[in-house]
Amino acid sequence: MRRIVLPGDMVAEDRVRMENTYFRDGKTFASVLGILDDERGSVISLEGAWKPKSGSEVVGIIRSVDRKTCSIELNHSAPGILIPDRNSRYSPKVGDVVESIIARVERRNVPIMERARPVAEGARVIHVKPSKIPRILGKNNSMLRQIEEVTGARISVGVNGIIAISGDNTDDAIYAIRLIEENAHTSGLTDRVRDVLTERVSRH
Amino acid sequence: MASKANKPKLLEKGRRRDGRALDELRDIRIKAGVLNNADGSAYVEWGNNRILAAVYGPREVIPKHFSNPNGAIVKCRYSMAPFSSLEGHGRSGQNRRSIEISKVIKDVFENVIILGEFPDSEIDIFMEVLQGDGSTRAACINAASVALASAGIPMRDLVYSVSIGKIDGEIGIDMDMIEDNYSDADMPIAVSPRNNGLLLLQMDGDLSESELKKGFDMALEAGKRIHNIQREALSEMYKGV
Amino acid sequence: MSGIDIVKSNYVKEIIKRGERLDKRGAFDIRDIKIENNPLFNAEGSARVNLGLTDVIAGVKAVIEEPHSDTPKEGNLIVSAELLPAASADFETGPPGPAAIELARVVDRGIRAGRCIDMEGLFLEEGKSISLYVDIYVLDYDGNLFDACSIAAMRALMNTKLPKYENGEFNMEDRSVPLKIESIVSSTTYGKFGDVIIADMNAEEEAATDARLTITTDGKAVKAMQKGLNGSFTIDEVERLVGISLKKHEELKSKMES
Repeated sequence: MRRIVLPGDMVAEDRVRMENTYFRDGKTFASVLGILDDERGSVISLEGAWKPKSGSEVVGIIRSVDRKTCSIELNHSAPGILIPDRNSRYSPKVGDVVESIIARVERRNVPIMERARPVAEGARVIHVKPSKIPRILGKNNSMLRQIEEVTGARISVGVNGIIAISGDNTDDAIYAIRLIEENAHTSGLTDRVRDVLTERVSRH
Repeated sequence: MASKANKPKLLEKGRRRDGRALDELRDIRIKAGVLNNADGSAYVEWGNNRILAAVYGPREVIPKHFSNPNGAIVKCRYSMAPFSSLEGHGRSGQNRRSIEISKVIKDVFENVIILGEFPDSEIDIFMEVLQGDGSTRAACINAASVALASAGIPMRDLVYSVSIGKIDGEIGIDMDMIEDNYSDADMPIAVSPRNNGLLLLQMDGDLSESELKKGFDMALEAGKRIHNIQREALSEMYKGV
Repeated sequence: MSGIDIVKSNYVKEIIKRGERLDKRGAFDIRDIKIENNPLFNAEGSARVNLGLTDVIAGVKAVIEEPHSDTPKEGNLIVSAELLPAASADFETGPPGPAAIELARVVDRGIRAGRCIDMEGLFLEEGKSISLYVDIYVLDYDGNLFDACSIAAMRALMNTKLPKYENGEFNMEDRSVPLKIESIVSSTTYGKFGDVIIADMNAEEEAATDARLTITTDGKAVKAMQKGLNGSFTIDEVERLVGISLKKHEELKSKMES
């Protein structure tokens, strides 16, 4: 059974450890507007901000470059700090759009970044709600791969809600991403996106 | 409170000027997710009140030195549009009344938002009274609560609010502007429905112990309805789940 | 501007210079206009206007005041605008800043210069006249506030019904006197990108433009203009845009009258 829960709704009569919940008086309550999946025992948030976690793959924009470090704008209350790898051929410039990975999260929620590499020059950048990213990626990135295959676009998806799109048919790729974002809570999305995209691309 | 000299009759055979019973709420309609730019929003039609609430955040704290490493800070602004009342043209911007209301509403949401999840960030709540007809702070809290949930802000509960009053000597709830102006007592409350905790409580006027109890009973009963309307507004955003 | 805004605006500049637009509109196409009449009823007149995703609401309040000493037989028109912090992450709380003041004054000048309202008709008696306060609230921002606010203010005035003036005061129970509208003005705002000019910019386009020009007309003549931002227009360009604005007037006027 899947149902919508609100902050303060009881989701278990006992203490069950799951994301987006809290314990009070030996019971478990939802802390966000989300979907409770009884079988999986999880509350999936329907909206909300992104929180940096180590290992997350993100997309950001180089905001400043110092002698030793540079900062990356990430759609977060603090920019990420990158210490460029001396062995890397890439030297960051202000304004570059980069894919990067969060190595760890420091005190005060500052993400420390690693393995930054630039996306294609002239890529378009859009913001989406971070809570919709899992649907845009799909199971094992199946949705993302489908969009790339049908359109010929190259898409870098950051779990922080920033997406960079380059290559062919970028308009169609963005159209598909917006379609998923608006209908993220519905089922049968993979087929719908494929049909709509195939139709759009064939018109060119 | 207005002068008692030209006080209209507020109750006739247990019915109020608009035909409501003492324990009856005005019509309430809430729509969530009405703005594009805000992270969360709600539009509330509550009787003749028209309220817009918007939430931004968690986002970077400006200015930086206000930021708190232990959790998010909450900023709250309640404000009335210059064209919001029937009589006269209101001054735009904040006055002593709106600053106090903003503060007590901030206290409400600091209690329920799980601030620790977002250190060094801020959450902004803006409430605009486009048209006011009494009990606007209650309507604003209900709107802000829905806006916060629709922004995905983690909270312990979905707060509701309602005003309790004494009109023509009788206890009732949800006073409109005229009733408020000529009431014998006014007591807005905001409640955490999970445990009925009072997160906002203001009162002025004259209430006996038994009147107080009666008022709380009425308000908690009405709160169930308000909470359901809030729930429906949020569920409406995700039809088909 | 944040880094991501710069990346976005570079892209916008490029495609507009190629003669395209993000939403595939033609250079001078205006987005959908939706008008809701009198959504508020405490105000003497109100209108909510959606121009694309931009959302504004205007309310008119009539107040009895002393006429200005330089116009003792006339009423007053006071237009204000507020960029609500609800409308955009970039709008801040506090008293109206330069952007809101410029916006209000440009809308005000168009209505005043267009002689839309019979100011002498607002005179009541010696020492008393009606002041019309038009307050415009920006609720959601997606560019071109000048035109959205101008439509909202104009339409709110067209919707205004004044209270009867009895025994030296307003009878708020009887608001049945329609405000006389003598003329309708419309404004069209343009943005420049290199040599390319477009109308009705959305937020992304507005963030990327170098120069902005608002032209207010009544279909016959230009009534007010305002150039903004640090770029420039040539005289030829201004003349061409005035021609376009005069032609657009009928379309905008019929939207306002519907």
